[in-house]
Amino acid sequence: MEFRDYGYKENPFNIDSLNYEMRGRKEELKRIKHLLEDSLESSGVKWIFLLGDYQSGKTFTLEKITESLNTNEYKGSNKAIIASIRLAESEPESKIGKSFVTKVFLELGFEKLVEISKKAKIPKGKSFSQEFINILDSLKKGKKEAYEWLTGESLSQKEKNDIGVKRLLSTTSQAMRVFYEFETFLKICGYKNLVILIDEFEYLVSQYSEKQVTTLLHIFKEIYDNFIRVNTKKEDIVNCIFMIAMTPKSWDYLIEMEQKMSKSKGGGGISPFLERAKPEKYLINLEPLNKQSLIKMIEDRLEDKRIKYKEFPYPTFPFINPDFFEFIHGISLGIPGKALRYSDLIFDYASKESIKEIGKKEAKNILEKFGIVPS
Amino acid sequence: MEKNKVISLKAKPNQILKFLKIIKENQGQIEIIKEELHKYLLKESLRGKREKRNSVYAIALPSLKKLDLIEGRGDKIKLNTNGELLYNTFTNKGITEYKRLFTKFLFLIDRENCNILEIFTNIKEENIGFEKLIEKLIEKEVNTSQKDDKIKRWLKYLEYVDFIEIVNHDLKINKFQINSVLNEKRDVEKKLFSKVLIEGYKKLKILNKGGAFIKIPSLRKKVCQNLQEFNFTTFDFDDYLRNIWLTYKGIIDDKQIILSKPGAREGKGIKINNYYYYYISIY
Repeated sequence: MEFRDYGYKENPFNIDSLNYEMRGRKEELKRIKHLLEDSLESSGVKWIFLLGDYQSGKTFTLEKITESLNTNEYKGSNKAIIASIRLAESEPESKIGKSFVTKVFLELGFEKLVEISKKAKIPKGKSFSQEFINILDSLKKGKKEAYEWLTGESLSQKEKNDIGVKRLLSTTSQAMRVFYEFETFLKICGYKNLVILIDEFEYLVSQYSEKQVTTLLHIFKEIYDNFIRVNTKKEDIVNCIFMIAMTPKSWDYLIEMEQKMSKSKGGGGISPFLERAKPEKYLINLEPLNKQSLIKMIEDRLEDKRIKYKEFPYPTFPFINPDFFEFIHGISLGIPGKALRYSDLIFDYASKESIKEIGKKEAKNILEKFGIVPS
Repeated sequence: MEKNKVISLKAKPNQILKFLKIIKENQGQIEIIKEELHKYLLKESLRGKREKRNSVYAIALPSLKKLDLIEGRGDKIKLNTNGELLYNTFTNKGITEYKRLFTKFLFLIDRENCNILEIFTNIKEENIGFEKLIEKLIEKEVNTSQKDDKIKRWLKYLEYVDFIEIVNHDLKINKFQINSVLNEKRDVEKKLFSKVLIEGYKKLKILNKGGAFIKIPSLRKKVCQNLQEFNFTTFDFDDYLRNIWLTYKGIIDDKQIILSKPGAREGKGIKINNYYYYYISIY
């Protein structure tokens, strides 16, 4: 049997989009809203950690947060600029600090940077480097090379001359200076917050050396300290809010590294970052979904891929409700990615075997064949 | 799913008690421990020849580690909860009780690793030749072969505590011995275990700065320490947790336990139905 024979345009469990409603997670979303609004409306640099197991929906949650920020659902988000970066997008780079800054510019994109550059002029008396002023001017004129420079691309001498820079953006210290100037310029433009959402933090701890990870965390700490320095001098700079999604292993890595460094270096390295980050307050654990929410999540996908013009025996056909759904909740323990993966396997197999209806018995038999439940 | 591994032990089963004594009596003095272990193994050696490094780092310490009886490194090597319990049982109650407890430990280690006892129990024939047994084990996803020395050494351990015996060159399983371990009366009730587990989890969560995913080895240690008066071993912990996971779908006191896999290769987690878990979270 084909998926169409069951009344679906395609397999509803294919993860092809994050464009579904967030089901469950009411407590987590409430906490995220509280922490984000508090950060958006106060001043300073904050980190919010989103901790979840594999397949628990970290990326999905970050996506929903980005959506809410973009649609001004959070108080204070109308004056925020959002960059959602994925650390796993490229191969590990040797200069991790520079890589972080260029990823932020890459994510903001050419058009957004041009738009920002046109928002304001640098007031007299503000100390910006000539290099940064030239980059802003070039962006205003729509010169792509300026964007390429900000994203760490290589440029010819002629291109560099054209946008008024002497060298490429190649070192971490240079990139950080540009980042701070960018933060200050954002404030001049009327923004209050720069929100950076970081997904797949685990990539960082698995691909980079301990020294490189410490360097990046030190940079985060420097962004925090820089805000205080600038704010003390009564100068303006946007708040920087980080939202970092990570797995238990990455969290362990940070905690263990802190303990190790406390012993070997008397607290150097990661401790200053964690002290400033205050995870005891700013950490959110993604819990498993309860049965009702998990069922809703599956039903959303069934409805989305359902052929509309035909009638079927019952809305969730061929999945017997609640028999199939209760089984999936039990076997996945409420972890959304697992529930979808198991449902996908079951439906795929059932269609090949032309199984007409799928309840607990059929689902269990199929998962036994894949060794997911013991036979 | 990963293949079931056979635990690799270079020490002989009857040598374990002496190792425990040496470590207990010389705790904190690694050089003396090394010297004593070597002296003992040299005396035991049939050829009367053995290198000290080999005695210590290939035979004695790795075997004790794999049997989960010691912890720490260098001067910090000491008997862990299980090792202490085994040593104290011998000191206070004698060799019979020591062997009874060792029997239980080996049963649980077998189940954690290659699960030979269960596979053997389900074979129809009462007696079986070694080659036939290996074929059956391979069929059941045990990572072994006819030439595998590890399995021969592990069978010696199972023979030492009478789980199996050799009858006319065949191996025979003593089901009564397995039943005696399975039917052993538990001093710790599930309710008490659940309470200590949840309390320990909460404390470790605070130390983890609020992170909900706690390493099973850390929680195991905490629970065993708190149930010390009941002689609760790390094997008992695994047994109780496995039971909650399989029988009660991870639900205790209206709370849901979730076991998660490690992000990389991490030791000392728990294996249940051929799946290996390293983190625990309770909601």
